[in-house]
Amino acid sequence: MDDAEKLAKLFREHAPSVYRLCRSYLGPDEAEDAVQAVFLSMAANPQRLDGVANVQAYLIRSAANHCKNVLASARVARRAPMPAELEAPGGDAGLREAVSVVLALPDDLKDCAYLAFYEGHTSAEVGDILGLPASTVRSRLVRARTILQEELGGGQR
Amino acid sequence: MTDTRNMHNTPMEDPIELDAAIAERTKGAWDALSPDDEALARMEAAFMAAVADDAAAEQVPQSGDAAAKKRPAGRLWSFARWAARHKTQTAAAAALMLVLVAGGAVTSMQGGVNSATAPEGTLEATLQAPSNAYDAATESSDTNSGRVESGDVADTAREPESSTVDKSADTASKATVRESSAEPSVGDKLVYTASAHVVTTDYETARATLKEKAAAVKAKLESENESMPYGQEGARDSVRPTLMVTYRVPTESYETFLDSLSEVGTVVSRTSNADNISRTYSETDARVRSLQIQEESLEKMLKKAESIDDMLTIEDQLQDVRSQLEAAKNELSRMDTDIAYSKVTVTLADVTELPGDESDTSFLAQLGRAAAGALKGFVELLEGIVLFVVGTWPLWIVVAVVAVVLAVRKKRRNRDR
Repeated sequence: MDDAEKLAKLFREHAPSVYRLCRSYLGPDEAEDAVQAVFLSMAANPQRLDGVANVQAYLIRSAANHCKNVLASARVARRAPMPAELEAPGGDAGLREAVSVVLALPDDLKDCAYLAFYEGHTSAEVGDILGLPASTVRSRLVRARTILQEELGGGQR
Repeated sequence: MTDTRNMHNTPMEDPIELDAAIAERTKGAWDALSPDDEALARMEAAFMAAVADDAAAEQVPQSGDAAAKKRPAGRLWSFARWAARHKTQTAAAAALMLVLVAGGAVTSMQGGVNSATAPEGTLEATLQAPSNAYDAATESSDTNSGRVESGDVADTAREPESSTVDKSADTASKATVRESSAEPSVGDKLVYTASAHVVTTDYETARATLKEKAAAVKAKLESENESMPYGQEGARDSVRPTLMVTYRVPTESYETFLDSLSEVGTVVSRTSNADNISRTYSETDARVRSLQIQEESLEKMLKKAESIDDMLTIEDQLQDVRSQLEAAKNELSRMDTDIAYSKVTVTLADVTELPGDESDTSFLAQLGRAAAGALKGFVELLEGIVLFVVGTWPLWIVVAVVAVVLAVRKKRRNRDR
Protein backbone atom coordinates (compact mmCIF):
# COMPACT_ATOMS: atom_id res chain seq x y z
CA MET A 1 0.00 0.00 0.00
CA ASP A 2 1.62 3.28 -1.02
CA ASP A 3 1.38 6.55 0.82
CA ALA A 4 -1.50 7.93 -1.22
CA GLU A 5 -3.60 4.87 -0.60
CA LYS A 6 -2.77 4.99 3.07
CA LEU A 7 -3.84 8.61 3.23
CA ALA A 8 -7.03 7.88 1.31
CA LYS A 9 -7.85 5.11 3.73
CA LEU A 10 -7.19 7.37 6.70
CA PHE A 11 -9.33 10.07 5.15
CA ARG A 12 -12.27 7.76 4.53
CA GLU A 13 -11.97 6.34 8.00
CA HIS A 14 -11.71 9.57 9.96
CA ALA A 15 -13.12 12.38 7.82
CA PRO A 16 -16.75 11.92 8.95
CA SER A 17 -15.76 12.11 12.59
CA VAL A 18 -13.46 15.09 12.08
CA TYR A 19 -16.12 16.86 10.03
CA ARG A 20 -18.81 16.23 12.63
CA LEU A 21 -16.68 17.83 15.31
CA CYS A 22 -15.70 20.77 13.08
CA ARG A 23 -19.32 21.24 12.06
CA SER A 24 -20.32 21.66 15.72
CA TYR A 25 -18.01 24.70 15.83
CA LEU A 26 -18.32 26.12 12.33
CA GLY A 27 -20.66 26.48 9.38
CA PRO A 28 -20.72 23.77 6.68
CA ASP A 29 -18.27 25.50 4.33
CA GLU A 30 -15.83 26.41 7.07
CA ALA A 31 -16.08 22.87 8.45
CA GLU A 32 -15.12 21.45 5.04
CA ASP A 33 -12.17 23.81 4.93
CA ALA A 34 -11.19 22.79 8.44
CA VAL A 35 -11.25 19.09 7.46
CA GLN A 36 -9.04 19.87 4.48
CA ALA A 37 -6.64 21.87 6.62
CA VAL A 38 -6.38 19.14 9.24
CA PHE A 39 -5.77 16.32 6.78
CA LEU A 40 -3.43 18.36 4.61
CA SER A 41 -1.44 19.30 7.65
CA MET A 42 -1.16 15.62 8.47
CA ALA A 43 -0.20 14.74 4.89
CA ALA A 44 2.37 17.52 4.72
CA ASN A 45 4.12 16.34 7.85
CA PRO A 46 3.85 12.55 7.83
CA GLN A 47 6.75 12.38 10.27
CA ARG A 48 4.41 13.83 12.88
CA LEU A 49 2.46 10.60 12.77
CA ASP A 50 5.52 8.47 13.48
CA GLY A 51 5.22 8.81 17.20
CA VAL A 52 1.44 8.91 17.21
CA ALA A 53 -0.17 5.69 18.26
CA ASN A 54 -3.71 6.91 17.79
CA VAL A 55 -4.24 8.72 14.50
CA GLN A 56 -7.82 9.55 15.36
CA ALA A 57 -6.66 11.25 18.53
CA TYR A 58 -4.20 13.33 16.58
CA LEU A 59 -6.80 14.34 14.00
CA ILE A 60 -9.52 15.17 16.52
CA ARG A 61 -7.18 17.23 18.63
CA SER A 62 -5.84 19.01 15.63
CA ALA A 63 -9.40 19.67 14.38
CA ALA A 64 -10.57 21.00 17.73
CA ASN A 65 -7.59 23.34 17.95
CA HIS A 66 -8.06 24.43 14.39
CA CYS A 67 -11.73 25.27 14.95
CA LYS A 68 -10.97 27.20 18.13
CA ASN A 69 -8.28 29.16 16.30
CA VAL A 70 -10.69 29.99 13.51
CA LEU A 71 -13.31 31.14 16.00
CA ALA A 72 -10.75 33.11 18.00
CA SER A 73 -9.73 34.97 14.88
CA ALA A 74 -13.35 36.18 14.68
CA ARG A 75 -13.41 36.04 10.94
CA VAL A 76 -16.43 33.77 10.83
CA ALA A 77 -19.87 33.96 12.36
CA ARG A 78 -19.62 32.91 15.98
CA ARG A 79 -22.40 30.39 15.98
CA ALA A 80 -22.40 27.33 13.81
CA PRO A 81 -25.70 27.43 11.93
CA MET A 82 -28.36 24.73 12.09
CA PRO A 83 -28.24 22.29 9.15
CA ALA A 84 -30.53 23.63 6.43
CA GLU A 85 -32.61 20.46 6.19
CA LEU A 86 -33.61 20.78 9.84
CA GLU A 87 -34.57 24.42 9.41
CA ALA A 88 -37.10 23.48 6.76
CA PRO A 89 -40.73 23.41 7.91
CA GLY A 90 -41.81 19.93 8.88
CA GLY A 91 -38.34 19.07 10.17
CA ASP A 92 -38.13 16.94 13.32
CA ALA A 93 -38.67 19.46 16.15
CA GLY A 94 -37.07 17.24 18.82
CA LEU A 95 -34.01 16.69 16.72
CA ARG A 96 -33.82 20.38 15.92
CA GLU A 97 -33.84 21.16 19.62
CA ALA A 98 -31.14 18.59 20.33
CA VAL A 99 -28.96 19.98 17.54
CA SER A 100 -29.40 23.53 18.74
CA VAL A 101 -28.43 22.51 22.27
CA VAL A 102 -25.31 20.75 21.00
CA LEU A 103 -24.38 23.73 18.81
CA ALA A 104 -24.88 26.08 21.74
CA LEU A 105 -22.47 24.21 24.02
CA PRO A 106 -19.48 26.35 25.05
CA ASP A 107 -16.51 25.82 22.75
CA ASP A 108 -14.35 24.19 25.38
CA LEU A 109 -17.01 21.60 26.14
CA LYS A 110 -17.87 20.59 22.60
CA ASP A 111 -14.86 18.41 21.90
CA CYS A 112 -15.08 16.66 25.28
CA ALA A 113 -18.82 16.11 24.91
CA TYR A 114 -18.40 14.80 21.38
CA LEU A 115 -15.72 12.32 22.31
CA ALA A 116 -17.43 11.15 25.50
CA PHE A 117 -21.09 11.13 24.54
CA TYR A 118 -20.90 10.34 20.85
CA GLU A 119 -17.68 8.47 20.34
CA GLY A 120 -18.07 6.72 23.69
CA HIS A 121 -14.61 7.35 25.10
CA THR A 122 -13.91 7.34 28.81
CA SER A 123 -12.77 10.57 30.42
CA ALA A 124 -9.21 9.25 30.61
CA GLU A 125 -9.28 8.48 26.88
CA VAL A 126 -10.77 11.89 26.13
CA GLY A 127 -7.95 13.42 28.16
CA ASP A 128 -5.38 11.47 26.15
CA ILE A 129 -6.92 12.49 22.87
CA LEU A 130 -7.20 16.17 23.71
CA GLY A 131 -4.02 16.32 25.73
CA LEU A 132 -5.88 17.35 28.87
CA PRO A 133 -5.67 15.98 32.39
CA ALA A 134 -8.47 13.53 33.16
CA SER A 135 -9.62 15.77 36.00
CA THR A 136 -10.13 18.68 33.61
CA VAL A 137 -12.04 16.44 31.25
CA ARG A 138 -14.22 15.19 34.10
CA SER A 139 -15.08 18.69 35.26
CA ARG A 140 -15.85 19.75 31.70
CA LEU A 141 -18.07 16.74 31.26
CA VAL A 142 -19.88 17.61 34.46
CA ARG A 143 -20.58 21.05 33.03
CA ALA A 144 -21.56 19.64 29.65
CA ARG A 145 -23.84 17.09 31.26
CA THR A 146 -25.52 19.73 33.40
CA ILE A 147 -26.20 21.89 30.38
CA LEU A 148 -27.42 19.01 28.25
CA GLN A 149 -29.63 17.62 31.01
CA GLU A 150 -31.15 21.02 31.70
CA GLU A 151 -31.74 21.85 28.08
CA LEU A 152 -32.92 18.43 27.03
CA GLY A 153 -35.05 17.82 30.08
CA GLY A 154 -33.08 15.25 31.99
CA GLY A 155 -32.30 12.96 29.13
CA GLN A 156 -35.36 10.71 29.53
CA ARG A 157 -34.03 8.77 32.47
CA MET B 1 -14.32 -2.22 37.93
CA THR B 2 -17.93 -1.29 38.54
CA ASP B 3 -17.14 -0.75 42.19
CA THR B 4 -14.31 1.61 41.42
CA ARG B 5 -16.58 3.71 39.25
CA ASN B 6 -19.36 3.77 41.80
CA MET B 7 -16.95 5.19 44.33
CA HIS B 8 -16.59 8.21 42.08
CA ASN B 9 -20.22 8.67 41.32
CA THR B 10 -20.56 11.94 43.21
CA PRO B 11 -19.70 14.59 42.60
CA MET B 12 -17.00 13.84 39.99
CA GLU B 13 -18.52 10.74 38.50
CA ASP B 14 -17.30 9.27 35.29
CA PRO B 15 -20.14 10.01 32.96
CA ILE B 16 -19.54 7.50 30.24
CA GLU B 17 -21.85 4.78 31.43
CA LEU B 18 -24.06 6.83 33.65
CA ASP B 19 -24.98 9.26 30.94
CA ALA B 20 -26.01 6.80 28.33
CA ALA B 21 -29.31 8.60 28.14
CA ILE B 22 -27.66 11.88 27.28
CA ALA B 23 -25.52 10.09 24.76
CA GLU B 24 -28.62 8.60 23.24
CA ARG B 25 -30.43 11.91 23.05
CA THR B 26 -27.53 13.80 21.54
CA LYS B 27 -26.57 11.03 19.14
CA GLY B 28 -29.18 12.18 16.65
CA ALA B 29 -27.87 15.72 16.89
CA TRP B 30 -24.30 14.69 16.14
CA ASP B 31 -25.54 12.46 13.35
CA ALA B 32 -27.36 15.43 11.88
CA LEU B 33 -24.06 17.27 11.78
CA SER B 34 -22.41 14.48 9.80
CA PRO B 35 -21.35 15.21 6.24
CA ASP B 36 -23.55 13.84 3.48
CA ASP B 37 -22.08 11.49 0.88
CA GLU B 38 -21.71 14.26 -1.62
CA ALA B 39 -19.73 16.46 0.76
CA LEU B 40 -17.54 13.52 1.76
CA ALA B 41 -16.81 12.65 -1.85
CA ARG B 42 -16.04 16.28 -2.60
CA MET B 43 -13.67 16.59 0.35
CA GLU B 44 -11.96 13.32 -0.45
CA ALA B 45 -11.47 14.26 -4.09
CA ALA B 46 -10.00 17.62 -3.08
CA PHE B 47 -7.75 16.01 -0.53
CA MET B 48 -6.51 13.30 -2.87
CA ALA B 49 -5.86 15.81 -5.65
CA ALA B 50 -3.80 17.83 -3.21
CA VAL B 51 -1.93 14.75 -2.06
CA ALA B 52 -1.21 13.71 -5.66
CA ASP B 53 0.20 17.15 -6.38
CA ASP B 54 2.27 16.91 -3.23
CA ALA B 55 3.77 13.64 -4.36
CA ALA B 56 4.74 15.16 -7.70
CA ALA B 57 6.24 18.19 -6.06
CA GLU B 58 8.12 16.33 -3.38
CA GLN B 59 10.72 14.52 -5.40
CA VAL B 60 13.48 15.40 -3.00
CA PRO B 61 12.71 14.68 0.61
CA GLN B 62 13.08 17.78 2.71
CA SER B 63 12.90 18.42 6.35
CA GLY B 64 12.57 21.17 8.87
CA ASP B 65 12.76 24.69 7.59
CA ALA B 66 13.57 23.72 4.06
CA ALA B 67 10.28 21.86 3.76
CA ALA B 68 8.40 24.74 5.22
CA LYS B 69 9.91 27.15 2.75
CA LYS B 70 9.06 25.05 -0.27
CA ARG B 71 5.51 23.92 0.34
CA PRO B 72 4.22 21.12 -1.84
CA ALA B 73 2.33 22.53 -4.77
CA GLY B 74 -0.64 20.33 -3.88
CA ARG B 75 -1.50 22.49 -0.97
CA LEU B 76 -2.00 25.34 -3.37
CA TRP B 77 -4.98 23.75 -5.02
CA SER B 78 -6.76 23.55 -1.77
CA PHE B 79 -5.54 26.95 -0.75
CA ALA B 80 -6.82 28.50 -3.96
CA ARG B 81 -10.24 27.03 -3.26
CA TRP B 82 -10.09 28.29 0.29
CA ALA B 83 -8.87 31.68 -0.89
CA ALA B 84 -11.73 32.02 -3.34
CA ARG B 85 -14.16 31.77 -0.46
CA HIS B 86 -12.22 33.87 2.02
CA LYS B 87 -11.09 36.73 -0.10
CA THR B 88 -10.42 39.27 2.58
CA GLN B 89 -8.27 36.93 4.63
CA THR B 90 -5.89 36.32 1.81
CA ALA B 91 -5.90 39.78 0.34
CA ALA B 92 -2.86 41.11 2.11
CA ALA B 93 -0.94 37.87 1.69
CA ALA B 94 -1.68 37.67 -2.01
CA ALA B 95 -0.79 41.32 -2.51
CA LEU B 96 2.50 40.91 -0.74
CA MET B 97 3.46 37.96 -2.83
CA LEU B 98 2.57 39.71 -6.08
CA VAL B 99 4.75 42.70 -5.36
CA LEU B 100 7.59 40.49 -4.25
CA VAL B 101 7.31 38.63 -7.55
CA ALA B 102 7.07 41.84 -9.52
CA GLY B 103 10.02 43.34 -7.75
CA GLY B 104 12.23 40.45 -8.74
CA ALA B 105 12.45 39.42 -5.14
CA VAL B 106 11.46 35.84 -5.91
CA THR B 107 14.99 34.64 -5.65
CA SER B 108 15.41 36.11 -2.23
CA MET B 109 12.22 34.74 -0.78
CA GLN B 110 13.85 31.80 0.92
CA GLY B 111 13.79 33.36 4.32
CA GLY B 112 10.06 34.04 4.06
CA VAL B 113 8.32 37.34 4.07
CA ASN B 114 10.34 38.72 6.91
CA SER B 115 13.58 38.09 5.13
CA ALA B 116 16.06 40.87 5.46
CA THR B 117 16.55 40.62 1.72
CA ALA B 118 13.12 41.98 0.99
CA PRO B 119 13.81 45.60 0.24
CA GLU B 120 12.16 48.05 2.58
CA GLY B 121 10.73 50.10 -0.26
CA THR B 122 9.14 47.08 -1.84
CA LEU B 123 7.38 46.12 1.31
CA GLU B 124 6.00 49.56 1.79
CA ALA B 125 4.76 49.74 -1.75
CA THR B 126 3.01 46.45 -1.25
CA LEU B 127 1.13 47.55 1.71
CA GLN B 128 0.03 50.71 0.10
CA ALA B 129 -1.59 49.13 -2.90
CA PRO B 130 -2.73 45.74 -1.76
CA SER B 131 -6.31 45.51 -2.87
CA ASN B 132 -5.56 46.04 -6.54
CA ALA B 133 -2.62 43.75 -6.32
CA TYR B 134 -4.83 41.20 -4.66
CA ASP B 135 -7.35 41.23 -7.48
CA ALA B 136 -4.59 40.80 -9.98
CA ALA B 137 -3.06 38.07 -7.90
CA THR B 138 -6.19 36.02 -7.61
CA GLU B 139 -6.81 36.30 -11.31
CA SER B 140 -3.36 35.20 -12.36
CA SER B 141 -3.31 32.21 -10.08
CA ASP B 142 -0.54 30.39 -11.87
CA THR B 143 2.30 32.41 -10.40
CA ASN B 144 3.64 29.35 -8.74
CA SER B 145 6.27 30.62 -6.39
CA GLY B 146 3.98 33.43 -5.37
CA ARG B 147 1.27 31.05 -4.41
CA VAL B 148 3.68 29.05 -2.38
CA GLU B 149 4.39 32.12 -0.37
CA SER B 150 0.79 33.04 0.24
CA GLY B 151 0.02 29.46 1.19
CA ASP B 152 2.65 29.77 3.82
CA VAL B 153 1.23 32.92 5.16
CA ALA B 154 -2.25 31.51 5.41
CA ASP B 155 -0.96 28.41 7.10
CA THR B 156 0.65 30.51 9.72
CA ALA B 157 -2.77 31.55 10.79
CA ARG B 158 -4.42 28.17 10.39
CA GLU B 159 -1.98 25.70 11.84
CA PRO B 160 -3.13 24.48 15.22
CA GLU B 161 -0.78 23.69 18.07
CA SER B 162 2.42 24.94 16.65
CA SER B 163 4.75 27.76 17.39
CA THR B 164 2.90 29.99 14.96
CA VAL B 165 1.58 32.28 17.65
CA ASP B 166 4.91 33.95 18.06
CA LYS B 167 5.53 33.79 14.37
CA SER B 168 2.38 35.60 13.53
CA ALA B 169 3.28 38.25 16.03
CA ASP B 170 6.85 38.80 15.11
CA THR B 171 8.16 37.24 12.04
CA ALA B 172 5.42 35.72 9.98
CA SER B 173 4.76 38.84 7.97
CA LYS B 174 2.94 42.05 7.93
CA ALA B 175 0.55 40.39 5.56
CA THR B 176 -0.66 38.03 8.28
CA VAL B 177 -1.04 40.90 10.65
CA ARG B 178 -3.04 42.82 8.11
CA GLU B 179 -5.11 39.77 7.49
CA SER B 180 -6.65 40.04 10.90
CA SER B 181 -8.11 43.43 10.29
CA ALA B 182 -8.76 42.89 6.60
CA GLU B 183 -7.72 46.48 6.14
CA PRO B 184 -5.34 46.60 3.27
CA SER B 185 -3.57 49.88 3.75
CA VAL B 186 -1.09 51.31 6.21
CA GLY B 187 -1.32 54.62 4.43
CA ASP B 188 -2.65 57.55 6.35
CA LYS B 189 -5.91 56.89 8.10
CA LEU B 190 -7.92 60.01 7.49
CA VAL B 191 -11.32 60.77 8.90
CA TYR B 192 -13.20 63.44 7.03
CA THR B 193 -16.01 65.49 8.49
CA ALA B 194 -17.88 68.36 6.94
CA SER B 195 -20.80 70.59 7.60
CA ALA B 196 -22.70 72.86 5.26
CA HIS B 197 -25.43 75.42 5.71
CA VAL B 198 -27.76 75.61 2.76
CA VAL B 199 -30.64 78.02 2.31
CA THR B 200 -33.49 77.83 -0.13
CA THR B 201 -36.77 79.53 -0.95
CA ASP B 202 -38.36 76.27 -2.05
CA TYR B 203 -37.91 74.07 0.97
CA GLU B 204 -39.81 70.98 -0.17
CA THR B 205 -37.96 70.71 -3.50
CA ALA B 206 -34.60 71.35 -1.87
CA ARG B 207 -35.31 68.71 0.73
CA ALA B 208 -36.18 66.16 -1.96
CA THR B 209 -33.07 67.08 -3.97
CA LEU B 210 -30.89 66.64 -0.90
CA LYS B 211 -32.26 63.16 -0.31
CA GLU B 212 -31.74 62.35 -3.97
CA LYS B 213 -28.12 63.51 -3.89
CA ALA B 214 -27.49 61.49 -0.74
CA ALA B 215 -29.00 58.38 -2.29
CA ALA B 216 -26.92 58.88 -5.44
CA VAL B 217 -23.67 58.53 -3.48
CA LYS B 218 -25.11 55.74 -1.31
CA ALA B 219 -24.85 57.85 1.83
CA LYS B 220 -26.27 56.39 5.01
CA LEU B 221 -28.50 58.52 7.17
CA GLU B 222 -27.11 58.91 10.67
CA SER B 223 -29.46 61.43 12.20
CA GLU B 224 -32.18 63.78 11.08
CA ASN B 225 -33.85 66.64 12.86
CA GLU B 226 -36.57 68.66 11.20
CA SER B 227 -38.71 71.47 12.51
CA MET B 228 -41.80 72.48 10.61
CA PRO B 229 -44.46 75.13 11.20
CA TYR B 230 -47.60 73.53 12.44
CA GLY B 231 -51.08 74.61 13.38
CA GLN B 232 -52.56 78.05 12.86
CA GLU B 233 -52.39 79.90 9.63
CA GLY B 234 -49.42 82.18 9.27
CA ALA B 235 -47.24 80.01 11.46
CA ARG B 236 -44.83 79.73 8.58
CA ASP B 237 -44.02 83.40 9.02
CA SER B 238 -42.72 82.92 12.52
CA VAL B 239 -41.36 79.38 12.26
CA ARG B 240 -39.38 78.62 9.12
CA PRO B 241 -38.88 74.98 8.20
CA THR B 242 -35.35 73.79 8.89
CA LEU B 243 -33.71 70.45 8.47
CA MET B 244 -30.53 69.26 10.10
CA VAL B 245 -29.35 65.98 8.74
CA THR B 246 -26.16 63.99 9.21
CA TYR B 247 -25.05 61.55 6.56
CA ARG B 248 -22.31 58.97 6.44
CA VAL B 249 -20.97 59.39 2.94
CA PRO B 250 -18.59 56.83 1.43
CA THR B 251 -15.26 58.62 1.54
CA GLU B 252 -14.63 58.21 -2.17
CA SER B 253 -17.84 60.18 -2.85
CA TYR B 254 -17.22 62.78 -0.15
CA GLU B 255 -16.16 65.61 -2.47
CA THR B 256 -18.81 64.75 -5.03
CA PHE B 257 -21.50 64.95 -2.40
CA LEU B 258 -20.28 68.27 -1.00
CA ASP B 259 -20.12 69.72 -4.49
CA SER B 260 -23.61 68.50 -5.28
CA LEU B 261 -25.01 70.53 -2.37
CA SER B 262 -24.93 73.61 -4.58
CA GLU B 263 -27.71 71.98 -6.59
CA VAL B 264 -29.82 71.66 -3.45
CA GLY B 265 -29.82 75.36 -2.63
CA THR B 266 -27.51 78.25 -1.90
CA VAL B 267 -24.59 77.09 0.19
CA VAL B 268 -23.91 79.94 2.61
CA SER B 269 -21.20 78.23 4.59
CA ARG B 270 -19.23 75.05 4.38
CA THR B 271 -16.53 73.65 6.61
CA SER B 272 -14.59 70.48 6.09
CA ASN B 273 -12.08 68.83 8.29
CA ALA B 274 -9.65 65.94 7.88
CA ASP B 275 -8.32 64.21 10.95
CA ASN B 276 -5.36 61.85 10.74
CA ILE B 277 -5.94 58.94 13.12
CA SER B 278 -3.12 56.72 11.82
CA ARG B 279 -1.41 56.67 15.17
CA THR B 280 -4.45 55.76 17.24
CA TYR B 281 -5.35 53.22 14.63
CA SER B 282 -1.99 51.48 14.65
CA GLU B 283 -1.92 51.53 18.44
CA THR B 284 -5.32 49.89 18.63
CA ASP B 285 -4.32 47.43 15.94
CA ALA B 286 -1.24 46.51 17.96
CA ARG B 287 -3.35 46.17 21.08
CA VAL B 288 -5.68 43.76 19.30
CA ARG B 289 -2.74 41.65 18.22
CA SER B 290 -1.16 41.58 21.62
CA LEU B 291 -4.47 40.66 23.24
CA GLN B 292 -4.93 37.89 20.70
CA ILE B 293 -1.55 36.49 21.63
CA GLN B 294 -2.42 36.73 25.32
CA GLU B 295 -5.69 34.99 24.65
CA GLU B 296 -4.02 32.15 22.81
CA SER B 297 -1.40 31.61 25.47
CA LEU B 298 -4.05 31.65 28.18
CA GLU B 299 -6.01 29.10 26.19
CA LYS B 300 -2.93 26.92 26.06
CA MET B 301 -2.39 27.34 29.78
CA LEU B 302 -6.02 26.46 30.36
CA LYS B 303 -5.56 23.22 28.49
CA LYS B 304 -2.61 22.33 30.67
CA ALA B 305 -4.23 23.43 33.94
CA GLU B 306 -4.46 20.53 36.32
CA SER B 307 -6.53 21.82 39.19
CA ILE B 308 -9.96 23.34 39.09
CA ASP B 309 -8.61 26.36 40.97
CA ASP B 310 -6.03 26.97 38.27
CA MET B 311 -8.66 26.55 35.62
CA LEU B 312 -10.98 29.05 37.24
CA THR B 313 -8.22 31.60 37.66
CA ILE B 314 -7.13 31.22 34.07
CA GLU B 315 -10.72 31.34 32.87
CA ASP B 316 -11.20 34.59 34.76
CA GLN B 317 -8.16 36.10 33.13
CA LEU B 318 -9.25 34.76 29.78
CA GLN B 319 -12.63 36.36 30.22
CA ASP B 320 -10.96 39.65 31.02
CA VAL B 321 -8.63 39.46 28.04
CA ARG B 322 -11.52 38.52 25.78
CA SER B 323 -13.63 41.46 26.85
CA GLN B 324 -10.69 43.81 26.31
CA LEU B 325 -10.11 42.21 22.94
CA GLU B 326 -13.74 42.64 22.01
CA ALA B 327 -13.63 46.31 23.00
CA ALA B 328 -10.43 46.92 21.05
CA LYS B 329 -11.87 45.19 18.00
CA ASN B 330 -15.01 47.29 18.24
CA GLU B 331 -12.92 50.41 18.44
CA LEU B 332 -10.97 49.32 15.41
CA SER B 333 -14.11 48.63 13.48
CA ARG B 334 -15.58 51.99 14.52
CA MET B 335 -12.44 53.67 13.20
CA ASP B 336 -12.71 51.64 10.01
CA THR B 337 -16.25 52.93 9.59
CA ASP B 338 -15.15 56.49 10.28
CA ILE B 339 -12.45 56.16 7.66
CA ALA B 340 -14.67 54.53 5.08
CA TYR B 341 -17.64 56.81 5.72
CA SER B 342 -17.19 60.53 6.14
CA LYS B 343 -19.59 62.43 8.31
CA VAL B 344 -21.40 65.27 6.57
CA THR B 345 -23.89 67.44 8.41
CA VAL B 346 -26.19 69.55 6.28
CA THR B 347 -28.45 72.26 7.64
CA LEU B 348 -31.16 73.21 5.20
CA ALA B 349 -33.13 76.32 6.02
CA ASP B 350 -36.11 77.87 4.35
CA VAL B 351 -35.73 81.62 3.79
CA THR B 352 -37.96 84.24 2.19
CA GLU B 353 -35.13 85.72 0.23
CA LEU B 354 -31.85 84.33 -0.89
CA PRO B 355 -28.69 86.21 0.02
CA GLY B 356 -27.91 88.59 -2.88
CA ASP B 357 -25.08 88.41 -5.28
CA GLU B 358 -22.34 90.49 -3.71
CA SER B 359 -19.56 89.47 -5.97
CA ASP B 360 -19.50 92.85 -7.76
CA THR B 361 -17.43 95.17 -5.55
CA SER B 362 -17.31 98.29 -7.77
CA PHE B 363 -18.34 101.62 -6.15
CA LEU B 364 -21.46 101.98 -8.29
CA ALA B 365 -22.61 98.49 -7.47
CA GLN B 366 -22.01 99.09 -3.76
CA LEU B 367 -23.82 102.45 -4.01
CA GLY B 368 -26.74 100.74 -5.70
CA ARG B 369 -26.80 98.05 -3.02
CA ALA B 370 -26.63 100.71 -0.27
CA ALA B 371 -29.53 102.70 -1.78
CA ALA B 372 -31.59 99.59 -2.29
CA GLY B 373 -30.80 98.54 1.24
CA ALA B 374 -31.84 101.91 2.65
CA LEU B 375 -35.11 101.90 0.72
CA LYS B 376 -35.80 98.39 1.80
CA GLY B 377 -35.02 99.31 5.40
CA PHE B 378 -37.35 102.33 5.26
CA VAL B 379 -40.19 100.30 3.78
CA GLU B 380 -39.64 97.66 6.44
CA LEU B 381 -39.73 100.36 9.13
CA LEU B 382 -43.04 101.72 7.83
CA GLU B 383 -44.46 98.26 7.61
CA GLY B 384 -43.32 97.66 11.13
CA ILE B 385 -45.04 100.82 12.41
CA VAL B 386 -48.31 99.96 10.67
CA LEU B 387 -48.16 96.45 11.96
CA PHE B 388 -47.46 97.74 15.47
CA VAL B 389 -50.37 100.16 15.38
CA VAL B 390 -52.78 97.60 14.02
CA GLY B 391 -51.47 94.94 16.34
CA THR B 392 -52.13 97.14 19.41
CA TRP B 393 -55.53 98.68 18.47
CA PRO B 394 -57.23 98.27 21.90
CA LEU B 395 -54.50 100.42 23.41
CA TRP B 396 -55.16 103.18 20.89
CA ILE B 397 -58.87 103.20 21.76
CA VAL B 398 -58.00 103.65 25.43
CA VAL B 399 -55.52 106.42 24.54
CA ALA B 400 -58.15 108.11 22.33
CA VAL B 401 -60.80 107.96 25.08
CA VAL B 402 -58.37 109.37 27.65
CA ALA B 403 -57.33 112.11 25.21
CA VAL B 404 -60.98 113.03 24.49
CA VAL B 405 -61.83 113.14 28.22
CA LEU B 406 -58.78 115.31 28.96
CA ALA B 407 -59.59 117.61 26.04
CA VAL B 408 -63.23 118.01 27.19
CA ARG B 409 -62.18 118.77 30.76
CA LYS B 410 -59.60 121.33 29.58
CA LYS B 411 -62.26 123.01 27.42
CA ARG B 412 -64.72 123.21 30.38
CA ARG B 413 -62.02 124.66 32.66
CA ASN B 414 -61.24 127.37 30.09
CA ARG B 415 -64.96 128.16 29.76
CA ASP B 416 -65.39 128.40 33.59
CA ARG B 417 -62.62 130.97 33.75
